[in-house]
Amino acid sequence: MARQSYDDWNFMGEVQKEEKRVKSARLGKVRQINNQRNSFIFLCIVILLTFMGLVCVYSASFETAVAEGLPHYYYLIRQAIYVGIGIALMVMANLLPETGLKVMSPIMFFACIVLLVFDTITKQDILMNSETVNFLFLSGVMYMALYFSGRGNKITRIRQIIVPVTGCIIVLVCVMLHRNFSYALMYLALSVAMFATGGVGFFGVVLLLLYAAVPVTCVILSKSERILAVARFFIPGLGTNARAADIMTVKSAIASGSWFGKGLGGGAYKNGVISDLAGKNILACICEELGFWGVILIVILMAVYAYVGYNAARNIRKSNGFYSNLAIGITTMVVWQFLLNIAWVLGFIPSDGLPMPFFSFGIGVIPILFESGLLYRITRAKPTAEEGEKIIESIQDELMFPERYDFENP
Amino acid sequence: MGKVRAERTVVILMIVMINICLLVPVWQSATNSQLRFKLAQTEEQMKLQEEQKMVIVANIAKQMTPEYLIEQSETRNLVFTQIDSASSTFVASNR
Repeated sequence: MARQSYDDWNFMGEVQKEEKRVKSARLGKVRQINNQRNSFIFLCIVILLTFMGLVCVYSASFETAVAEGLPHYYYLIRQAIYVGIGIALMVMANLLPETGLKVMSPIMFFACIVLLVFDTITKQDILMNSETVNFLFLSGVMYMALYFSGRGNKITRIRQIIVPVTGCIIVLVCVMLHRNFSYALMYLALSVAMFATGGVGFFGVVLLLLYAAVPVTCVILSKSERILAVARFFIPGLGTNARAADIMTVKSAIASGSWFGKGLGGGAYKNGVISDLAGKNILACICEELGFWGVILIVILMAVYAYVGYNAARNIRKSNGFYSNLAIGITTMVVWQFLLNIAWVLGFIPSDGLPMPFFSFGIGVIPILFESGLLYRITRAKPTAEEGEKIIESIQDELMFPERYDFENP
Repeated sequence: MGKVRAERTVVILMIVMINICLLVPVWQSATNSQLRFKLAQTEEQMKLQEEQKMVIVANIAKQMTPEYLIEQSETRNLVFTQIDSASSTFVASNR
């Protein structure tokens, strides 16, 4: 009798349905656990990078502070204040409602454009200096994330491309007029990433690159020293200037660090031997004092940062386009800035450099921490209603049939 | 949930503590550097003061020579006049 009733039940397809339900619930639960784990790993990495940055800034700057007649911890305290503000913003990024972020995005971008144009006209560096330029990048990413998340299917393809491309061109032209090629390269990379994730496609990306290529070429060819700077990239010994001498000193500092470095605080290339050692050139100090393995550790931490960021973007792609685009933009921004800084320090980029995220001295750490706060929020983002139902079902199932959820022996 | 939160807090505190520990050798180097800098400054000051002392001693020695006395008397237009002891009166003496 019991066998017959079971067969009847099975005949109706209940067993298959049940198995499918259990599978999807299990998947939802595993994904939720993974998300929680990823967000915690991300938080640990951000804290580790921030505090390592503090230590490195202190190590790179104490000689300068002493030589200037200041207490040796002067720059450490200043950086700690910036980090404190950054952490406060990081917390704020997690408390702000999503609507607030969406409202803030175009306002921030518009304010940055106005400030950028003002900088260009008056030839000042309010926004266009290595410490504050991150605000421009962040506003650009937030605006593009919002634009591509909301308008993808509602407007024509041309309009979908033209509006963000115009914004990019305005920013790129202003940045090029300031002769900051690193910033231009950075913004271009961000735009390409956002266009690619926003579904603009190959045509849009090529259009942006074509727009950018013309002013870049004109600006490079307009002065002899710029042509020389580009040529020096291919022929390292060509000509001599302060930057070339700096690169040689940086390379000898890196070489002196060897595999394990001289130990924290034991570097010899301080107090003006290398210009801006606590700022854009901090990689030289890190290499000298922590050695090859220390740098490898930082590279691994940045790689995990990138993995968690892109993974969060992929996980939330279907449920929240804005967050997904924002995660891609922020991760690209931090990782690309890190790579550009390394390339600049080693002399691969013939222009002004960008500060190293988390490590360089200055208020540049504030937007980086705010961005990390946003990314942390995205990694913690709750699953969709559908996924939520599956998770609740899985918990109910787990209570009823604990043997199905034996994850040790599936 | 509470246990997980506590574990995570401990992990984060551990990371912070490790970094604070990393600060210690840098702090020592920085203090050492500051003391070396102060020592160098003090030594330089001592050298300067020693030099000043030598200059002052040399000046005193120079001013005590008869040549300097003649030179100064010429410069200041002083004329040596013999004092007649018979016509002079002692007002006071410290002996």
